[in-house]
Amino acid sequence: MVSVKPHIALANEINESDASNPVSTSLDTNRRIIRRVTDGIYREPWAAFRELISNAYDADANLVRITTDWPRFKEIHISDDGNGMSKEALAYLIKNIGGSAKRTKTASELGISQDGFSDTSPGGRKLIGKIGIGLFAVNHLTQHFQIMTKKKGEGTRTIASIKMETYQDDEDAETSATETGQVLIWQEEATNNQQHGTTIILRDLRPAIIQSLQSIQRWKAIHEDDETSNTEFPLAAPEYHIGDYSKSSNEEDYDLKLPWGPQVRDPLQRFTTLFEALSERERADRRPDLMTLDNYFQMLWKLSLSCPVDYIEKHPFDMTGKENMYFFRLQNEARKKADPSEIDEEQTLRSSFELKSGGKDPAGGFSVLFDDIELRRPVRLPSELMRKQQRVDKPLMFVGQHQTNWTEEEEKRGGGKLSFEAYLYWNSGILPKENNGVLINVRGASGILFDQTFLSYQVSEQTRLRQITAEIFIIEGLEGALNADRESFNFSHPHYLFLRDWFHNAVRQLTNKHKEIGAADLKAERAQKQEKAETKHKALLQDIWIKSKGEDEDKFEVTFTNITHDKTTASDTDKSENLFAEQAVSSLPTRINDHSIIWPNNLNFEEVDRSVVESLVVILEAYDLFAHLKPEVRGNLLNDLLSALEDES
Amino acid sequence: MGDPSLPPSLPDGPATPVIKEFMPWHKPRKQFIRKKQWAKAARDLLSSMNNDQVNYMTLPGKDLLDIEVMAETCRENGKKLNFLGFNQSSDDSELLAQDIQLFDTNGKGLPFTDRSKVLSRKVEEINGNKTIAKQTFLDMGPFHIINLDACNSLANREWGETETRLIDALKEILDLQMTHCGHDWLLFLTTKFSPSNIHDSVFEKLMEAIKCNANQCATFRQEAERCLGLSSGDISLPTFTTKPNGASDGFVRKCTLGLGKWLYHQLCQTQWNMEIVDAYSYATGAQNNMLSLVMKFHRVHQKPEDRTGIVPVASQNRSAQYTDSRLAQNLGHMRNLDDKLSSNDDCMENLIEEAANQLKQRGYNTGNDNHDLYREWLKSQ
Repeated sequence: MVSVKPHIALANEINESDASNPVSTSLDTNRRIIRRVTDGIYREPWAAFRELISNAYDADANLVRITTDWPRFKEIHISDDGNGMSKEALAYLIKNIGGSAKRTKTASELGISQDGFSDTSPGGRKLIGKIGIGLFAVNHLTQHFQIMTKKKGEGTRTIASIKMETYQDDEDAETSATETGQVLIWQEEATNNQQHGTTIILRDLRPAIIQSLQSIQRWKAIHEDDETSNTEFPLAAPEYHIGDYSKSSNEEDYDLKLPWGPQVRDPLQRFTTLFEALSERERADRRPDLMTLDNYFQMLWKLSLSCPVDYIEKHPFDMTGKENMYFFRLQNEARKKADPSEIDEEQTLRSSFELKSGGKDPAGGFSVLFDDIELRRPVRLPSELMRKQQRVDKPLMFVGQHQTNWTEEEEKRGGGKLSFEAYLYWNSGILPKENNGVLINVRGASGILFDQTFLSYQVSEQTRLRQITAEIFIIEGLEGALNADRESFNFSHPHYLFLRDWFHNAVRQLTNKHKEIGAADLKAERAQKQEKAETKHKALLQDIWIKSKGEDEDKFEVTFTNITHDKTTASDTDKSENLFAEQAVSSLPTRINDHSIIWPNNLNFEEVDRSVVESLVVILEAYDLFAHLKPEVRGNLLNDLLSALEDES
Repeated sequence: MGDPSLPPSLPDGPATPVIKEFMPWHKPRKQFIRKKQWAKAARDLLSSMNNDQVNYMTLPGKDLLDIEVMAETCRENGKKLNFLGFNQSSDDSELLAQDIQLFDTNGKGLPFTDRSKVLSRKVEEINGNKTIAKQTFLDMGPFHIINLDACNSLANREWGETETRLIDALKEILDLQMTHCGHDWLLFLTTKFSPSNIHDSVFEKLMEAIKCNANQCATFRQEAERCLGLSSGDISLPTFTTKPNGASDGFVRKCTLGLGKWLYHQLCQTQWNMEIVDAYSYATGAQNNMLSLVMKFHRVHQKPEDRTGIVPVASQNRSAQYTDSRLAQNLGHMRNLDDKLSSNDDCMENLIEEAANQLKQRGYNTGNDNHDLYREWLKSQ
């Protein structure tokens, strides 16, 4: 029987259709798109490493070692001590690029997820991978690689040697196959039955990738700049680098400058040194940024932000009440203020706010060693202000969590549930500078790094936005909003929109609270100054009073009352014509000890300083000049004196 | 270099598995060297070491057999092995074979450090000023054990000619170790000494060093002549520095003594001394032409000389110290490994069994339970 092509069959059905008998069918995706995707969808080499590290994480690895033969970059080894792949899992992978078994029923059959929990690795981790193109991210780096893998308890190890083909633009959609390369697979007896893990070896890296890792373009531009004597905006050479290969490929010809000295051998100490190099606070020239590093070190930096590794010191939710910060609970409703929170000294933010993110890894921890450098999440939130003399006297830490509360029908339209936790941290300076913005972690991993636009936040907020670092930890959802390269979001996806709106509300709460604390500080400062001045003024009047009356005389006491009177303006020369004068209220002295003062309705002055009028009253009384006057005359006398003083000033 | 925007030109298909064939280093006598010479010397050093980590530099070849033996020795002594291997190959399949072996070795639960690695570079690159080979050597060293299992020539060219020689790398390694090392260390050196693979001028200089020493010190002359199987006064003859045509045990001994003198000459200028711990020769052809040497280096305390004469402490003459006849004495004990094994059937049988089992684990087809294919191959050699 001759099979009819699906679109011909559908065309035939359409021919037979009319309004009373429409054709109902499903939309199908052509497999050719996968062929295109496996040819490489990433912009930079680090993204390919990120995918391989994610795969190791999903396989419950505790350690991933990436070893390059830098600065040549002819071959790269990626080894993990994860579960390894069974022959069936490897076969599935080879035959189903773009159709990962992860998070499907097949996953548990293949041993790559827990029985009954296709979303979770056998060791209990939430799986990062979903689509199944992660492994073929290596095609971005090379077309020639090998995989060796072994599962615990199996007597053999399996080796796959792979050569990928370049996607041809002029491939005929009708005739081209979805085949993306050739594979040789074989088994070898394993010495140790208990061994488990996977090693991927990349050979014959693409020249463009090697040049990128060696920062060739940047070095060339710097040399061209030197030649043209560009003194206006000279290109800065990276401060830390693995050497300048742009002029010669001879290793003897270059000097490398690593962030650490020869005595630093501990992989974590090396990374810490790199972190410190980017966090230097006081620099005569400029605050260091990623351009301080060459492409190789930038790659390490970006990887450290994107992988589910431990923080350089501790997870922000492991901070306790001991930290010298103001803590706030973010509100999920619009226009509400963040709530100040008291955290016990021994209590962590995680327990205080009942958070889940950053808890103990169910599979026993995850580390990544890249060329003997242990990658850690380069985020540290200090308790001290980076710049002193601030209205806000210590860092602010805002913590929140939210989830969609959609009906079943809404969830269907929205792409399922979304729940997340987040923190927003303010300091007078964010170090390293690169950490300004918001980082979204989906299952501990992130492909987008810090977004300095704060998900396109539209309010300028003066300098405040440059003083914020924030992270969002997705508990459930959002993956549908991530594009296939995991490096951008689909901005129209309901999860993204929900998250963006919540986050913007959180930023608003932070900036409002920051303004509020600043304003309160300013007010308190003014009040303090005022109080100080008043005390000084009171003491002066007291001295005058005693000098005139003697120490035995009673103290003076001035009573101020709010007086309603006609509002005075500078042009009110003829008040009789001002039939509809506005009324104003002023606080004026109406009594000193036993002598009352009655003010006229029309005051000759616009504003009066309380201390000035009090001084006049006290001095006049101290010299007994008030005693023989009537209350109205006292008022008129003061009115004229104040008017004269105002003119004088 | 072609257009960097293009992927490199690759072979038609993926790298293929290597058909595993027995190689010279699979013979029982190499197993003896690994287990009875190297591991024994390592064990002695490890027993007096305080460190928990043993830094080991090696030229492991694709089978990594020595690394496994050293790791087992470390495990016995409760230590971790931090190894740095140098192995460069342009053959994809050979590299793949090595990687598969590394994958298997790493999975054996042996005590390797996370930093251990095999670098795809030639050890000779250590000799450069800023090479990655040197950087990595400095980064992972100084080493407790350095194994230059070269199987080829130390110096078949004159200095400065084309590529760097192994002896140049050895000189650099000695310099680096002596500058940076604060502990005793071992050097395993395996090399071929036949007239065709040692350059005339190098041979001449090695022999001149012996001759010069013999002229200065009668005891050395006596021991050297005994070690080399020469009659009294032979060292002074012009023929002593003439290179023979064919390989021989005597040639290996002469070169080894010359090499020892050369090493002593280096040490003379430092605070270091050296002793030969063990030495074997064996044949890869009809005549003995291979040397397998174990040397131990240790620091010496040298009293500074008071040239003012206020405290007239006698200065130690380092040169005199190193013209010590012990070198010649020790080399006099160098044994022929082929003879030793052929005269001890039990030992040979154990080695065959051990080597065959190790190869079988590595995927070599050794045949039936009695390893008949391996034994057949041995007979054919």
